[in-house]
Amino acid sequence: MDISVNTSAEEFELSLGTCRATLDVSQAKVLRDQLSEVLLNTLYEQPGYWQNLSARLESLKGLLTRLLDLDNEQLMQVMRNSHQPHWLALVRFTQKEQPELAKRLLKAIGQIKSSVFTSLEEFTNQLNAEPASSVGEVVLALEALDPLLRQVTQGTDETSVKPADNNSSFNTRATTFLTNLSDLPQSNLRLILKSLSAKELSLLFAACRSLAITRFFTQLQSILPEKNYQQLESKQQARFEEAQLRNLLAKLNQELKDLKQLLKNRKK
Amino acid sequence: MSLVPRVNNGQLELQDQSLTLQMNLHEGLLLTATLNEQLGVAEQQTQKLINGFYLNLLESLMLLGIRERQLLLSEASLETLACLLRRFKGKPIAKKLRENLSQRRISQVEEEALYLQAKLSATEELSQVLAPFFNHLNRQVKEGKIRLQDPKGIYF
Repeated sequence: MDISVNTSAEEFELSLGTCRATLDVSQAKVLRDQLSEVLLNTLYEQPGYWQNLSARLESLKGLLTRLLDLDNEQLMQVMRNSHQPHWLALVRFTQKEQPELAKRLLKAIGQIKSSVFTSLEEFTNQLNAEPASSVGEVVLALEALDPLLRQVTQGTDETSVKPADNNSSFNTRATTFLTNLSDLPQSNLRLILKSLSAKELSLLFAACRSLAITRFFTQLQSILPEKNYQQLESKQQARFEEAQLRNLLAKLNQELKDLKQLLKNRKK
Repeated sequence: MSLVPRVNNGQLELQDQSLTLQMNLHEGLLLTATLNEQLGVAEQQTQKLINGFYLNLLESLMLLGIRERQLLLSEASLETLACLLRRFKGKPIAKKLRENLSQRRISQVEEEALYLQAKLSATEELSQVLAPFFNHLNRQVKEGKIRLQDPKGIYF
């Protein structure tokens, strides 16, 4: 945009692209003052924004002590169940507040073996390369941890998937099973999916698509980082054998039973 | 007639009673500098405004991911970098800026006439030297490739 200002007989003629405006001296001064003010404050959030978030963060700091009290296995379980995009803010904040806990969190991340999750190496790179995490992101990450911490320390049994009816056709049984699986709490579904290889996950993806289990995709989108979800979507297999799916469903059923048992043991 | 400026969605809007004219922030900065020139305001005051605007912008750039930041700065011209490093010579932001440039680039910048002394007026420097960098940056923001965060915020 071409910008020029011509002065004549106490008038300022502003030429702004194709627009023209005429101001007197006082109007020009007011505009100049207001422009300066607006331009110097353009990147700032509303007054009170950061103070409110800081106060919320302060009230959430107790969660770090609760995390510290967990044993390594519990800590790993919390990280597994947590939303991966929150890790960055969580670890960065913990590095500042509780460096010892941060080391344990990184160790726990390193021990999660799964094609679904970022490796420790990738995560360490992200720590160094990704944009700074704002206090707002830290608050979100900590707030999301609260129910997970309670789940691990108290143990909740939310794994009840109804057994499939042996008399119905395979497709009907598979649909029932996969619908129930998709209705599991996200944290439990996440654990189940982590036990799958990339190939098995791809098969499950294709089966859910073919059987129109839409809930599965909603859940999966929240569980997987966007990039991984897109990769899965672009590489999904078009066909699969019924036998392959039978084996996969049997495995999933076993994983569910194991999870149920694990949570039952924790309750004791 | 009076015009009221406000920022909406990263764009500057000038409103009168019936119309709204949109321009980018840098064009708003150029308009302010031009008004200052016509109002006979001391050049020093305009330079102070430009420095304030760019200090915020550069501090916000320092919150970007390291690759995005370095890529963006590698796309800035030697003249732009020379102008910015001269403006903030001896200030912490100049040190941070240097940390994101290669040694070779720093040497080239230090040989630029614009680094050694201010040779252009505030409005000339804005329109000829700084605008191309800002426009590139603005495009990246509009395309969602980068997000400029509040430089006075709390980060980890």
